[in-house]
Amino acid sequence: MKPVLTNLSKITDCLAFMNLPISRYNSENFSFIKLHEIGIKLPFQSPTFRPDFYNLFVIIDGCGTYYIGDKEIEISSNKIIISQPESFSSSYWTKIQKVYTISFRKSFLIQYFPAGIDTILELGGENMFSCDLTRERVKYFEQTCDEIYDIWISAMEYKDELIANLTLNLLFLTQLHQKRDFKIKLENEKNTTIVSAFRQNMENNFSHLIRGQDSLLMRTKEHSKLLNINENYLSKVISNCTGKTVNEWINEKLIDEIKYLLKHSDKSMKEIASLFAFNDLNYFCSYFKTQTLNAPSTLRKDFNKGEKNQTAVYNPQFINHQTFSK
Amino acid sequence: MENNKKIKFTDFFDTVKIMGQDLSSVDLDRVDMSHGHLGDAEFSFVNSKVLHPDDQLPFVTPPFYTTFFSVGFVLDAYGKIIVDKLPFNIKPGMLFVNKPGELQQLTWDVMNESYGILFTENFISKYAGISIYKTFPFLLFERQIPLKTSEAFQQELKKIVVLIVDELINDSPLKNQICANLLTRFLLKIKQEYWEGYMIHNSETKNSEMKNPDIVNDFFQNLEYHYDQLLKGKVQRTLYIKDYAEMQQLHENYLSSVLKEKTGKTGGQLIAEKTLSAAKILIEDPRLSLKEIAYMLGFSYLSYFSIFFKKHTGLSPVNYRKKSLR
Repeated sequence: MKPVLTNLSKITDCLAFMNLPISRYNSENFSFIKLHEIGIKLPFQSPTFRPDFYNLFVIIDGCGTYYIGDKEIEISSNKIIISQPESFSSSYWTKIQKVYTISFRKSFLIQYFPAGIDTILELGGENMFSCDLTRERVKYFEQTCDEIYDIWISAMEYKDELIANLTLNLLFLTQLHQKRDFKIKLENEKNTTIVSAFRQNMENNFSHLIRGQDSLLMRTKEHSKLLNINENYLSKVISNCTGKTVNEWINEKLIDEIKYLLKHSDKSMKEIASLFAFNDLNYFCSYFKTQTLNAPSTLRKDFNKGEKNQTAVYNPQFINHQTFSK
Repeated sequence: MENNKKIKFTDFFDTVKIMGQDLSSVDLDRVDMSHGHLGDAEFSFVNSKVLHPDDQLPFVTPPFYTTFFSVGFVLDAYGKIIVDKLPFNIKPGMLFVNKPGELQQLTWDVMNESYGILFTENFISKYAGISIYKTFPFLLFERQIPLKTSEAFQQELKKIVVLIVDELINDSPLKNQICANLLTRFLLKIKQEYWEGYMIHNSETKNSEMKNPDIVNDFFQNLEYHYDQLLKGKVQRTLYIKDYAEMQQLHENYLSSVLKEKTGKTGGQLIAEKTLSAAKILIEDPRLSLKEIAYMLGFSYLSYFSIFFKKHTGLSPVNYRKKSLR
């Protein structure tokens, strides 16, 4: 069974769609959920969302799988998973003993801490990051989560500032686990700005495409125009700083998104192709083939074959809702 | 203690010396608590219990001016602090906050548990993006009356202190960011506890409603506000002591003499100091050329700026930038 496909992006919309008994404090900027306390029936398959926010899962005790883009991440105890916005994602849970989910928009943190946090939200250029924690760290994360929750439901005047501060603290600790990214980022601040602006534009472009607000997949030319810099300069900066060319970035992202839809949705090939502004199905297939050496239909078939053994049960709550509409 | 009559401005290292410790013999790269002191000139932590062993009590510092903010967190100690000629008795559970440029003299009689956190404005703005003027206006108040803390609040603050110490000892690549994060949390807690509902009063209400007798405080707030605007590029002009006097409807000579009397520095010095710290922040941003910075801060020629900067820091702007980017 595939997850229900939606392109909902706001925290509040996503939560409302799932129809879960969740606290009234949730806003479009921040939400905190103790997954284990809201009576989820297991096994639980979440719908597919395309969030405009970061998700931080602190899994003290739980099992399942998290799907984002082409990736499948095993959900296990003593682990954290953090995902970037603007990527299709869903999760499948078989055990939820103690799991915290913190969702926040980048702007929520930037508002209170305008400096020094750009790099920590880059997640090393990936759309997600996960790592196992030591026993000590888990305890610290758990305490901090409880503290965030207590502050969140309190009536303190400066609670948003405190919440942002504590969340940031968790992110810093997470960042310490992904060491390899440091050197690239610290080299040159000017280039870092270009890189993150480019990534932001690319992601915006994708989300516009998917919501049908745009019909052009931006390439180097359009990106450089948007940033007011020379095409060659942009290419040079991007490939020097990230080790990937502009087109590699775009292609990888594109393939990643397509793969998610092939695997975790029932959308027809044609619909997927038109979603990403391919006018011609043949072109879509050959593009996919050159990028992955596999035809899109093969990928879908192979995946479905492997998936048959896994029986997922839907929460009946979703049935009434309308699904993907473009 | 000799030198008692000669009051001098102290930067961080001088202050440490006054506190009875000579850092020139201490290897600052080695991180441990054996000297009761952790950190660097931008941010540091002092464990007074280690610094002042019982056999050296009572301990009296000569009067000194600091160039940084400090928060003294007394859990169990007795003594006296004189701030701007006003004496306060130090008792367990007391929290005192001092801003740069205050004349202080510290006496310890009994020392069981007391901590100090020292930080510069630059530190918190660089690593947390926080403007003290905007987020923590209470730090800039003219006269700080020591705050009394409840048992529960002490525990809360102590938890953060412990985290700061851990972080300083761990010396991770994100040390500065995490410390700034924790420091911010520390200050936020204080703000939440004591200053809930406090707003920066803007100049209109100030003049019409009550006459605020705090000339120095107003001067600092005006100064901070102006430089905040200057850094954001909202105003282009720099202000002189005359302009600040006009803002408070005072004669410039009167303002100067009040400033000199209360802070020990002339208005010009105070403005120069502020300009210098703004310059340092700007220079560390490699996106701005030095010429731009000079214009932003109201120097009509780059060479004036260079001379000014070199006079006060001993480094030319170019060298300072090179050093900071390394």
